[in-house]
Amino acid sequence: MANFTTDSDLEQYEPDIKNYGIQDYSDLHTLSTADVKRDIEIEWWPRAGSNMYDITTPNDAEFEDSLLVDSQWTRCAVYHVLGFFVYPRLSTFSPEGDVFREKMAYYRQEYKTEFDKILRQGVKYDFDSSGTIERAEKRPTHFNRLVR
Amino acid sequence: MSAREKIAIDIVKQLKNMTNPAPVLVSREFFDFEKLAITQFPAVLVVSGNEDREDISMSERQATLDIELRCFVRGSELDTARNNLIENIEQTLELSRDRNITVDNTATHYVQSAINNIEVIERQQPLGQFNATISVTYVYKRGNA
Repeated sequence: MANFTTDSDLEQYEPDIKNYGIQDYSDLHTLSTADVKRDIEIEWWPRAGSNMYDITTPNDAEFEDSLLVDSQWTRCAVYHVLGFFVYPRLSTFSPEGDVFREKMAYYRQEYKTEFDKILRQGVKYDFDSSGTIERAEKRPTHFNRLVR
Repeated sequence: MSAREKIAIDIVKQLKNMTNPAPVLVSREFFDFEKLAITQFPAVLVVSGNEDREDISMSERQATLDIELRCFVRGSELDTARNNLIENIEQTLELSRDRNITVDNTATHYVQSAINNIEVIERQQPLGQFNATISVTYVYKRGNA
């Protein structure tokens, strides 16, 4: 399973991230990617199949994360790995707070915002495994439907 | 570059090359140890301090420079952590008492250094601190420090 992010992706957002005594965040990328994919499966997948073909037909297919377009999730996953894994590891969690805890909260919020934007923009998912993303394979989740 | 500067650079370089226990952060730029990441300990702040200089011959002067290492550790068993770091720092700096400075007739003639003082600073857990003073004696040609 390929990760959505690498250390160089983190450095684009936080150029000093390797100055805190950790030189390799590989294990955190793996954990974070698994969590983001789980969120996609929870938030998007139940409505994704019916969205594409027939809304009266429930989507009972298995979610395959390999059919996602990884680059669509890079920024979102960077926010996730920073907010949920990197900064909690750096923070001292002292009662008076520290800059790392502030950043942790910031990136967690940004993750939610970015995740929602991707859903509204349309998750790119290669339903037919053709290797290309057709127009119907990247529609917004709530395309042409009223969701109660 | 002055001998004083070369000495400070060498000390930083040697400390950065240390292994277990090794400082994660070695810096000559002031930092607030209470704002460091938990992963940046042990941390060492290297401060070039006071220096005494005197004439020892018609052409030579002798200087004694104090360089202070403010060392911070974090966690449990702080006394052990401090002691282990003190031991390793001293062993590392003893490897080259001449601070790897090229001695010649035109500038620096002689360099010797050693840790001569350890001061434990009481901090609230989980932080611990000690200051180690390195005394560096060097002889240089007058007007060429």
